[in-house]
Order: sequence, then structure tokens, then C-alpha cells
Amino acid sequence: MIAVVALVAVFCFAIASSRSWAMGPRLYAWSASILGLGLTSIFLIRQIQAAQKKGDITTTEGGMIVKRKVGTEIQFFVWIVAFAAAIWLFGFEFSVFLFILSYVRLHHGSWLLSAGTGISMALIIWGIFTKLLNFTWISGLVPRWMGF
Amino acid sequence: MLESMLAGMSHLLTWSSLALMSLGMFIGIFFGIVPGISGITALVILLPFVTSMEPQTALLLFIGVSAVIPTADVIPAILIGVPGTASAAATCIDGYQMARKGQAARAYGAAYTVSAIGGVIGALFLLATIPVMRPLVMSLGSPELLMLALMGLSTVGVISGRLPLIGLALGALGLLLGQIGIDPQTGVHRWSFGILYLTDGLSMQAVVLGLFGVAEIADLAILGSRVSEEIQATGKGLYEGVKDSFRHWGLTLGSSIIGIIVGIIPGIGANVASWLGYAYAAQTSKDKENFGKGDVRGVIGPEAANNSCMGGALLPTLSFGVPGSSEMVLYLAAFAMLGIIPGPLMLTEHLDLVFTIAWGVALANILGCLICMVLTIYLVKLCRVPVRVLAPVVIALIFMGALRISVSFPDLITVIVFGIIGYIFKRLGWPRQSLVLGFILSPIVGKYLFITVNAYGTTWLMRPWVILIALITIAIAVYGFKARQMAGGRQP
Repeated sequence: MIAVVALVAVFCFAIASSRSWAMGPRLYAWSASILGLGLTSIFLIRQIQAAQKKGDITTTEGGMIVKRKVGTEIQFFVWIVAFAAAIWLFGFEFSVFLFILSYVRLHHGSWLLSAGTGISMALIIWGIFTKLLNFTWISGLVPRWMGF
Repeated sequence: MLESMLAGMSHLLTWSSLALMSLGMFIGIFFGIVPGISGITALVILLPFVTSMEPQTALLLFIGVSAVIPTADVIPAILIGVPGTASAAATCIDGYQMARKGQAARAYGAAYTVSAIGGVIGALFLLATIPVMRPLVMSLGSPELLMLALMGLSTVGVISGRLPLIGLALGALGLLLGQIGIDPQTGVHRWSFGILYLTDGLSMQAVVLGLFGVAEIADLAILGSRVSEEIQATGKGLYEGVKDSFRHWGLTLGSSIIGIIVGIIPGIGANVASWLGYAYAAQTSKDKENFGKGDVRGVIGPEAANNSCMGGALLPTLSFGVPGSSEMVLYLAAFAMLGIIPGPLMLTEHLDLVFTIAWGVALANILGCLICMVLTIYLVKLCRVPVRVLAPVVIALIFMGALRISVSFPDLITVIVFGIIGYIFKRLGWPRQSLVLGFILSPIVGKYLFITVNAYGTTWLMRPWVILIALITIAIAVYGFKARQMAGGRQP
């Protein structure tokens, strides 16, 4: 339900914010937004009606069972954000090693498995993509401070 | 036409093209074998790298990946009863039972052979219909192309998910997201909020990497699924399976045709094709009692259908820019990044490329079959890769792709944001492919809308082909809604 309301809000915002545009882009934006708003509103109304019939406002969304460990989901995306932060701090290649080592280790992998996978992946990226194919990556804050 | 056909083949038969297609096949085999990662993830990861390649080699890399995945995904499906990708789920039913009876090798032989045959039949269909499609496509103007784009968007939205209303709404949202940045016709800043990164618009690769790549691996890692440790000996009988494919040649041919037809219909894809192929095998057999207990026909039917599907799906994709399946959405993204517009221009200026693609599909299916036959005994070990190792490696690959786009941090942020959005959509059962397709088609729709309105005013709505395409779109939408209603969905 929250996701549907958010979608409605996005379409309303799109309509409101494009009022001052020129005719052409405004026509395009309003066509898509009004259509989207109408469809989402119908879906929302039907969801509310279905919830009221069942007598339970906390209905499932789209027929999917919502029960899952929210903590596990948040934890995974925290890992993703942490990886991105590590890239910003240390650069890409070292962060790959660090991320894989810590992820596998903290998910009950042995030191050999976690370090081995991390080193292998970092070497593959360095050897093939950096050295052979001359890809350039973001240089991290810490290496720049250290003068590399 | 013949010149283009031969030019297409000559592009294919170069060392660099064959090498890249082979690389794509090995990547496709990996992603096909490891359960839980879809073929789309493989294409998503490769997407940022294709911009630096020649169009022929880039597309052959893609074809190598996507042609082989429906062949390789039977490896875990037969051996441990876990499909490598969703399109192998139907094969699991009888394939796994055959393995339990010690006939795994026979099942593999049959699966690989009909996969190759189905893939080649699909490619031949594509080759045969290109000359027919070309004059048809050339007769279309900007109003018809606009309507075709909208038809593709609405069809994918209605048919490909369980929630047609949301599918259509997400298509509209995709159109809006694709408008972010400066309008090329009028110079208006659309939703850039003064942020320099948004002035150029959102990066398509970043959006796709997030919506599909991060979301898929997040789902796999969060579920914490473990692949079964049970592995049985493959045994002998590979050649027996090959003979089965020819023994049941009618079933092989019929299932291949089913796969082609399913592929042509936008938004459906190999998952549905494989189940229809299984149903066809079961329904047309005189003795049905062995189905579900290890009948080789239960392997032949789905595998022929899901491999021929690609040839069918390429037809509307190349001719009209309407994706025949979810994978074709990513092909459209690759075309956009390579500066190729499907449709009339594709069938005139890039006709040799179209033939390269068709020949590539045929060759990749044949080579994929041979590679899988030779390497099965080694490839089965990939089924045992634990998720805790797989997840960070795939995330690293996705981030590598994100950083390749413009070597800037905002693209990474875009990937993460759309990864979270994509995961939420996946959990809700909302079709992400509608959003991506809307995003990809947004500049095309904008351009055709601008040309159409300026050149025709409102008279374009009265053009016969426009009316016909509109009626077909409405018919497909009504069918989609009715089908959901009959299936007992939460909404029509």
C-alpha cells in the first residue's frame, strides 16, 4: 500500500512540477503522468476495497507474502552502501578485496575461503581490466591523501 | 539482400567475433548453471562494456550469453532438481526424475540436442522473415512507429507481470524517468533540480544495473538459498539422448514452433515458452502416464521451445523496437548505447548486422550444445557455489560495470538507489521490465511524438495503421486483464 501511495505521489509531483514547461515537453510529461496517475489510483482504490472486504487493512501487496526478515534485507543493503563508501575511501580494487573478505568471513566462511576469493577477484580485476584493458577507476580519498 | 546476408556471415566468421561470442557463451554457461541468477543479470553486467566495442562484436557477445543460457540451465535442473534459470523449471519435472533413475546422461543428451535444434530453427525463422518484414517496416511513418512503441510498452506492462495496472503505470513512470535532463527539442530542463549529473539524464546502464543486477542478487543473498549438495553420477547414455531427439522429431519441431510464436508476442519470453512446450509434449503424447516420472519427452518439449524462443523474440525487437522478451529489453538498451535504432533504419543501414545476429544465434546454439556435452561432468561443480561467495563477487562485478559508465561516483549512487527500488518491486511482484522499457523508449517516444504532432497535427490519429495498432494494443490489454481475472489475480 505504501509503495502504491508513493507512486501516486510521484505522478502528482510530475504533473505539478511540469506546469511551467514549454508546450512540447509539458504535453509528453502530462500524458505519461496523468495516465500513470489514473492507473495507480484505480489500483489503490481496488486494494482498499479488497482490504475492507477482508476486514484487514494490512493486506498483502500484489499477492506476495510480505513477511520476510526486514533486518536481513536492511543488513544486505547496508553492505552495499558500505562497499560504495569503501570505494570512495580506498579506491575500487582494494575495496573489492576488503568487501569480499569481510562479507564471506562474516557470513561464516573460513579465512581461507574469504581471503582467497577476495584476493582472486581483486587480482582478476587488476590483471585483466586495469592492466590489460587499461580501465581507470575512481581513486579513493585515502590514497589521494597519502600522495598516490 | 543476399549481399547483406553474406556480409552478416563474414562479420561473424572473424577471429575477434568468434572469440567474443565464445567468451559470451562461457559467461552464459556460468550464469545458466548457477541457480538463482537469471540470464538478465549476465546481460546487465556486460551492458556497460559494450559501448567501447564495435556493434557486431558487442551484439555477438550478448548473443553468446543469451543463446547458451537456456541450454546450460538444464545442468542443475536435471542433476539436482533446481533450475538454473526460470526457463528450465519445466525441464526439472521429468529431467530430475530421469537423473534419479540413473538416466541423467540421456536427459542431458536430449536436452542439449533439442536446444541446438530449437535455436537453429528460431534463427532460420528470423532469417526467412527479415526479407518479408523489411518492406512492411519501410512503409511505416513516425505516427505508426510511435504507436508501435506504445504498443510494446503497454503489452509488456500487461502481459509480463501479475499486476497489469501497475505494469502499465510503471511503463509510464519509465517514460518520465527517461525524460530527466535537457529536452533535445526545446532545451527545457526537466527535473534536473540544478544537479549537474541529472542535466544529462540518468544513465541507462546504471538504472538497469540497479533494477535487475542488484535487485536479483539481493533477493538471492537475502533468501540465503543453498544449492543442494546432492550430486549423482551422470552415467552413460548421452548418445541415447541425442537419438531420442530425432526419434521424437515431430515433438521437437512442434515445440520449436511454439517457442517461436511465444517469442514473437512481446513481453512473454522463454519461461512461458518452456511450459507451453511441456504441455504440448504431454497433450500430444498417446501414452501420458510416464510424464512426471522421467519421460524424455518431458525434457524435449520445454527445451526445444525455450531455445527457439529467442529467434522469435528478435523479430519484433529488430523490426519495430518492441521487445519480444525481458532479455530483449536489454538488447534494446545495448542498441541505444551503440547508437542503433531498431526499426526501418535497422533494416536498411544495418541489415548486415541483423543477419550477423541471426547467424550468431544459430552458431551459438550449436557451439553451446557441443561445449555443454563435452564439459558437463566439470560444469556440474558450479552448482555447488555457495551464495555467500557468489553474492559479493556478483556485486563487485555490478559495481565494476557501474564505475565503467563514466568513472564517477553518482552512477554508483544511481545503481544503489535503483537497486533498492528494484528489490522492492521484485518483492511486490511489480514488473521491473515495464519500467526499464519505458525508460529506454522515452527518448524515442518523445522524438516520434514531437515529429508526429508537428507534421500531422491531430490527423495522425486517423491513419489506418495507427488505428489498427491501437486496436491491437487495446485487444492485448483487454486479454491481459481478462486472463489475470480468470487466473484469480487480486485485480483484473
